[in-house]
Amino acid sequence: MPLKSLFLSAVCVFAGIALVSCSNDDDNAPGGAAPAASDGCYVLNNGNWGGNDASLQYYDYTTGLATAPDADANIFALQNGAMLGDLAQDMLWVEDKLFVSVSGSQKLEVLDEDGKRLREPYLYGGEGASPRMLATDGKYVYVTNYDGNVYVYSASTAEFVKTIAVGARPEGISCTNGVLVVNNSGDLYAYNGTVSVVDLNSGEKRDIQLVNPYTASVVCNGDVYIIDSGNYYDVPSTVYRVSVEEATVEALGFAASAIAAYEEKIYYVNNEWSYEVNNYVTSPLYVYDTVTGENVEVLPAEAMTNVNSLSVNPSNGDIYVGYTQYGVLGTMNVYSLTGEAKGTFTVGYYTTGAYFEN
Amino acid sequence: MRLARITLSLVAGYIAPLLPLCPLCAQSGDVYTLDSLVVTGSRHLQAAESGVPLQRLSAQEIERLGVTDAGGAMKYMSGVTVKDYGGAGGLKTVSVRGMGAQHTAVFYDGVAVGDCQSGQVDLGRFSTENLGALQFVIGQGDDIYMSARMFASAGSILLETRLPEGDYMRATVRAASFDTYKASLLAGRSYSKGLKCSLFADYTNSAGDYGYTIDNVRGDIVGRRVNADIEALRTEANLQWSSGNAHTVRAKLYGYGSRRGVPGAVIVDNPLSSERLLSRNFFGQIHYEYVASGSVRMKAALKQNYSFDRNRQPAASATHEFSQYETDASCTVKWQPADKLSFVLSEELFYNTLSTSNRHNAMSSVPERLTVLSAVAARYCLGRVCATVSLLHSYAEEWTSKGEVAPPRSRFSPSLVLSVQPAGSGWLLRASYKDIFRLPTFNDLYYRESGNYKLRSEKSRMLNAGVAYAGSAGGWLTSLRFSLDGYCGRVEDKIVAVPGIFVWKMSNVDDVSLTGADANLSADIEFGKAAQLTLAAAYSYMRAVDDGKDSSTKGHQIIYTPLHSGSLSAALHTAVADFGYSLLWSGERYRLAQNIPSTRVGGYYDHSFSVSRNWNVSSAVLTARIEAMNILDRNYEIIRYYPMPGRNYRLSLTLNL
Repeated sequence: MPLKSLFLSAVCVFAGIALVSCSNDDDNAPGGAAPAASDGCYVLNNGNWGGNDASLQYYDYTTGLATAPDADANIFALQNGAMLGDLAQDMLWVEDKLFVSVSGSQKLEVLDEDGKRLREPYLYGGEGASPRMLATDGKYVYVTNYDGNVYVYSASTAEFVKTIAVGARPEGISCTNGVLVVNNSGDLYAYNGTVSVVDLNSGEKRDIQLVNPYTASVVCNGDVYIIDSGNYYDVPSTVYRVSVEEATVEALGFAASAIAAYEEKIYYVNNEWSYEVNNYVTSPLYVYDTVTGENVEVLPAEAMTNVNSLSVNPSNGDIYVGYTQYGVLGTMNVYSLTGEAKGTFTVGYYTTGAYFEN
Repeated sequence: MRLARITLSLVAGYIAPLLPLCPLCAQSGDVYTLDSLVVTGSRHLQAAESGVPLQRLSAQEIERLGVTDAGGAMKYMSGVTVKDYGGAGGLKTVSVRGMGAQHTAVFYDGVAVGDCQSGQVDLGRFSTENLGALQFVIGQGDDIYMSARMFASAGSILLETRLPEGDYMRATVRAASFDTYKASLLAGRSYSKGLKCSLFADYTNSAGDYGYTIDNVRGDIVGRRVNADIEALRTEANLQWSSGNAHTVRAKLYGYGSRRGVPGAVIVDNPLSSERLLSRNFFGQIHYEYVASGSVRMKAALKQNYSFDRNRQPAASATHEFSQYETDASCTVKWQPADKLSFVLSEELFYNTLSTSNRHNAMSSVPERLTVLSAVAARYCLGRVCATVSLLHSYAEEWTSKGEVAPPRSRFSPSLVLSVQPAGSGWLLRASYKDIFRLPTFNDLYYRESGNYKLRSEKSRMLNAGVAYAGSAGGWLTSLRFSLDGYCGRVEDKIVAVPGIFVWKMSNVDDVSLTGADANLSADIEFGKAAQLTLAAAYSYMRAVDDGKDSSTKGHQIIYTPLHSGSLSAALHTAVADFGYSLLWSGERYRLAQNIPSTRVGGYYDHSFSVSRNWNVSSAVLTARIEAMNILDRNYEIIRYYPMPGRNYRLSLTLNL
């Protein structure tokens, strides 16, 4: 099992044991079961700007161990003999493949389930053509790009299909019921962001004027939920429900910096600068019921200090909270859907979240 | 115009109160008619006489090191870390004993070179071509007769331009690796009646596209720097007028313009680099000194500075334009009632503004700041013991065009220097203490989302104790100089950016504890009349660790600060030619707060070698010089993913008339 041996070797590296003594995955016979979604999940780390220290980790549910986060010893580096690059932004696990957007390196990596390259990465080359967030309908993979387009790839062959023009600096993206919902963050410092609702069958695009819709975009109960980050001054961040049929938005009346969807619920946490305490202040972790409109606290604010990412395992509702501090490797805690601690492990810099098989 | 009005009101409102002081000094000349000797010219203090660590490089020494800018020269000093992003256009900043570049002040012919936006000065912009000397002082020196701003930093770099006597001309042309060309001209004239003037122009053009190799797990990233070109022109005019020994006026006009690429870090799989920086800087300064009598003297200076930067980032579809103005006025009076006793009163005020273009406005507002510094200092020697005390009061008030503004700040900063010269020896024992702070910069306070107007100042305190020796052993060892200083200190409320989910914010989070030692050794050796050898070595031990109360990296060495570093240089002068060798050496560093193997950045050695020869061509002297830098062709980085050039060469021809 390539991933298993790789996992072991990476754990060895992380434990400080020489790589040579345990890494010979090239000699292993291929075969064995591909990692099932029930075995573990991937964790992607953004890395430091200009630091080429984006990384990919694998977290094993059974052992509670994760592979190394180091730029030169993470799964990607070990599998491909090269660094993942600068500022990994988002990933998708679909059709036995991993699609990873690396914003600073301006590329999209297509990997097998063990993290090995299936093809040369797509390089976007042009000035400011950084790939950002990903979404899939199971058939295609949609990647927003700062050049104002959504790049479409086949989920089964990873071949490039086409581009769809959206708005300025698109970020978060979701796909549901044959409709793409794209957050266009707008022109630099202009706070003129929009949400594009694109019908994939007719190609019709409808735009909704907002302020600063950013990376967060999740599908829940047939609707898309997004965060508009506001202008960091007098317009606060707001969670919106986007109706894909009407192409309208509805403010849910609470602020958030990170959201995650599970069944009919939206988990959310807010992390805001406060001049009163002269530091970031983090809210408790809440869950919002999209059917009843109820808000319930899941984890206290103390458990959310330095929160950086929020993900939920779609198969069992486990909550993955990533924490970060400047210049220090991050941490990820795993909680059950009712908030009991289930595990903790070290992650790389500015983790973007945990990723589960679609 | 607003600026003109402000400048006027400044002059009227703030110089006027000082004016009464000036007649006071003039009058005091009548009172104290001591005809003691008047010191003409500035005899600079030798390192072994200074109560604080002082290092000085003469023009000749700078030339022998094979450096072309002040940042390069600073690498040969002990007690500093120079951040160098590589290449002819790469930023070079100097941090003193782990305190951060914002704690280092740079003075150009006695007047501060400031940057209210970033708080750090790019020393790569100061060519050594017209430098007469470069002096580096840690803490508060014994020379108390200086402007208040020189009391206001933890370390000072003093750049002094050449202003020789008589009529002269010096022309240099240079060609170097990576399509680098440079030409400079310095011409000066002395007139009767104590009038001297000089003109200087320095032009640089470099493609800077050097090759590099960077490890990439099981392979290498092999490439050439792109977008690393620079074209820069610096011009300067100096005028000096002295009337006997009583009045001296010095005036300077300075202009700098450059266009450069900002190559950025080497990024995996993305060779694209398109950020450009256009810079312009103009300043005029006038400096007046009046010696009223043997016991009283005063000096005053006025400076107006304008700088403009246009930063174009096509990748982010952004263009940022920043204009900075600074008006600086200072007045210093020294009273020396007795040979061993002197007092200084120094007042300085400066007014800064930073404005940005409307398009992609990077600042949340247009900030303005008025800083008023008042220093009193005294120096007294009793026998072989000398003591210098000073107290600086700083006041800063800010205004913004909109939004929140930082509250006014007021703070007293003391310093104390003690030195003992044991009888009949070249030895000196010294101890000093300095408490100082730096204000948050305009970027720290008002840069759009990340700026934090509630930032506190960053405080630093340092205690230094050392020993210095200067003497000549006679015979072949014509002179020997040595110094060893140990220090401990602390930086509190260090300003760093802390990450949030959407935006980062500037915040006072860290405390840094500093302990270290600096050692310098130099010797002149004579081999008969045939040859002279000058050797110099510097070593720094610097333990600068995070000491934050709740820090998760408490005890970790701060970023880009090697525990051990040093330099070595040798210059051999013979009748045939001059030979120079220099070595820069640094131990490993960490690129991030957490000291773990994956954040370690390896140490490096950089060896350079030079040969030069003079020819007399009638009344002129022609000097040819060949230099080879990084002769072992080591790939190294001072800042991670900013590779330094490999082996490279330089050929220079200088004509002195």
